[in-house]
Amino acid sequence: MKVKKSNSFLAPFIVLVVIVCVLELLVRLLKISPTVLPTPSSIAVALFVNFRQDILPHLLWTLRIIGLGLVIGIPVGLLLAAIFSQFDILIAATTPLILILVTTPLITIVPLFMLWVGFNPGLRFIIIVIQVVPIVLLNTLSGFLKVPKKYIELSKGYGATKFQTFMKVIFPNALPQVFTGIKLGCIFSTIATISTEFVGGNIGLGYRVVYFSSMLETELVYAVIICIGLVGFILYQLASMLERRIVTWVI
Amino acid sequence: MSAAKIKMEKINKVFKTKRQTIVALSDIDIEVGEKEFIAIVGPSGCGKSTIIRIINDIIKPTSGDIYIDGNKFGKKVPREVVRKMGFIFQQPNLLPWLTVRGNIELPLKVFGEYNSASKDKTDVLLEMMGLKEYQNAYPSALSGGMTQRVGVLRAMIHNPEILLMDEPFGALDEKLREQMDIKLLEIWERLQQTIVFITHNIVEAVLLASKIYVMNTNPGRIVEKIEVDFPYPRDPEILIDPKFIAYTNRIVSLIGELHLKEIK
Repeated sequence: MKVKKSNSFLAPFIVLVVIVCVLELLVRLLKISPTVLPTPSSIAVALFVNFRQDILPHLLWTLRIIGLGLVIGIPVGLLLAAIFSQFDILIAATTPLILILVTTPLITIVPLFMLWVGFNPGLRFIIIVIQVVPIVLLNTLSGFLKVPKKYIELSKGYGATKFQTFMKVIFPNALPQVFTGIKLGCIFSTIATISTEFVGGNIGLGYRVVYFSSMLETELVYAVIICIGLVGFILYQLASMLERRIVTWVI
Repeated sequence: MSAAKIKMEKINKVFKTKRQTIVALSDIDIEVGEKEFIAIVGPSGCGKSTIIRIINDIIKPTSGDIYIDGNKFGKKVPREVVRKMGFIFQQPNLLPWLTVRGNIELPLKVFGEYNSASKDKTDVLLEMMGLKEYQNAYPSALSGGMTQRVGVLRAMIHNPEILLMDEPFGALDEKLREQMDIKLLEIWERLQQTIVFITHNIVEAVLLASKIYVMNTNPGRIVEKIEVDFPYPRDPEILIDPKFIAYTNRIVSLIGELHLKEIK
């Protein structure tokens, strides 16, 4: 179903406002303890007052780790998919491994990772790369392998080289799946980054959640959670925007 | 006599699967003269589409020789020679991520021949086919007839010497198909290309071609070569000529008889 553009923005906004108002009312009327569930308004105030000093530096750090992970992980995933697609044996040999990499929660290797490279939080982007590469690889590869035979025939019929066939047929045909991979990569890189920050270190939004909880600063915990949610949301939206700009032929 | 434009000698194609071996083509001999318009007609599954896919190297034959312009190429026609051919598919087979213009210019880009003059050339062709205002549309926005016209332009953009047509009008209704056939004859008389036209429509084959190879199935083979003795330019009037009807009856009997033999 097609939704009018103005509605697709306005409708969710109204829903959000209603939820916030209902929460505010409920928390006040039921006199819920602010340590358990603070009112949305007090969370907003806490966010506003503490943002620059206590949240922003950690937000920037988290963004940096996610960004590095994506900037390295996406091209590597694409490149590996392109190489794998040329060799059936490689696909057969590595598919189980890739699946295991995708499905194993990466938080489990964080402690190990610290054994390998030490506690330098600046190196954590490597974990994000390990998370993003297989996700992008898996989705892109399935796009590369699902080319309708008739398009390959067309390409061959004009004497295209293998490289031309890849650039003019296989790659554009896979673009929708490539973007699925990138969007999933955005989501999972956010999750992975926050997870690593939960496990250790003293920087990043994930660390901030743990820290404020231990201080019983519940308003600030919620404030940071909102920031984390926004990071994932905005990343996803950016990828979707890019997709709409590039994949213009799909209706 | 000068060498044939296209010649196939003892072409065989065998598909092997785990369970069975299918002889798709058995000892195919075909000769197409320069600027000749030939048709290959036969029931579905007789391998007629495979023949033209072998000519432009989409499919590799199991054995046999292909000659183009008198040059013997064995089983594989080289890339430079393939690029002298245009292929029109039964389904237009446009790339959905390219616009109408992008699809038409695709062969030039693949050949590395795209330049400033190409744009003007595409403009002329678009105008000719009444597609000018759709040049920036994606194929998904076009009607079936329009996409087929784009497919025809794509096959012609590089001035191919040979046109290979795989039931190009098979999806159209009877009346529209006849109009397209007449149009095709006009274009061919002007551009003088060598055409190999695949169809299962016997009337269409007789109307268009000067020579018809009749094929049948199991294994895919040529059962007869028929020379059609009507001069060009042809008038649709010939459709009701007794000679025309005799040709179609002959082909029907060939394909029909063979089917009866198989049932026994």
